[in-house]
Amino acid sequence: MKQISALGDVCPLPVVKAKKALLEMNKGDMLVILVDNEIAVENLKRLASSQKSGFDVVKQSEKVFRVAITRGEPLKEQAENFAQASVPTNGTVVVIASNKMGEGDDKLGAILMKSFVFALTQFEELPCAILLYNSGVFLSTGDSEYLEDLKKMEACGTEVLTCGMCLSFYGLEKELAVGGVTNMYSIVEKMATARKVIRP
Amino acid sequence: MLNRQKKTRLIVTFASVTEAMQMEETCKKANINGRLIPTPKELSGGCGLAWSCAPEEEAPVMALLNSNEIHFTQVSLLELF
Repeated sequence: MKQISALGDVCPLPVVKAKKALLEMNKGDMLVILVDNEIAVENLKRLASSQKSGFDVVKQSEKVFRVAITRGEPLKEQAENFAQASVPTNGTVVVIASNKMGEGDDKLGAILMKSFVFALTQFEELPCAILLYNSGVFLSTGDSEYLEDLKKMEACGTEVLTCGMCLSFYGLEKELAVGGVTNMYSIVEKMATARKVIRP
Repeated sequence: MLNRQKKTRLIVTFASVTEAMQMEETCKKANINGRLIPTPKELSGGCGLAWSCAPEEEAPVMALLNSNEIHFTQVSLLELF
């Protein structure tokens, strides 16, 4: 077991530290990381799930969360993505802020958005993250016609993140069908550290 | 990248968006699996939308197109992600 402290570290440092430590560990090894906020806990949880690793958290006090990640078996490709992911600057981030593309006819707007998301899947280099907020959450919830494309990109390493506040606003908390939930801090961080942000 | 392989798809192009949308509607009713996609760059067509489905759907799709219900421009096979 290895223990590191990320108490007092600002986002995304806890995740960067955890990734670095996990890279040096073997399957079945446990990493314990102490963090002082729930956002960091959520981010570590996503890291664990993306690496098919076990995850457990104990709230030791108001400001101390003990997160335990049990190293899963990294696939070769995963290990490569993993190494790339530890670079703090992201590549392209796609922001889906609506379930329609452009302004004008709503039916046309929906068709354009569907075409846009499909065209993304055909691009040689997939975005590192897709952020969905406001009516964009309709793309990642329920039996949306976008699930196939979003899941396809997620399977290839794209992070698909939906705004939690928006899910709750539209009453869709239990309807998320692809990717994870995110918050405004994380949205701002993704946009601010992206090499490029695309918003259709 | 994981699981990223191109697969063969049957692509039907149309002269207008209206016809492409009509194709989607008709196929849904006929239980033919597939979807509208922006017309791939490799194909020319007056319209921005094309119908994409698995090559296994060729028989029902061709039967539908040959019934002259929908005016199409071209049917092709393409490798897509």
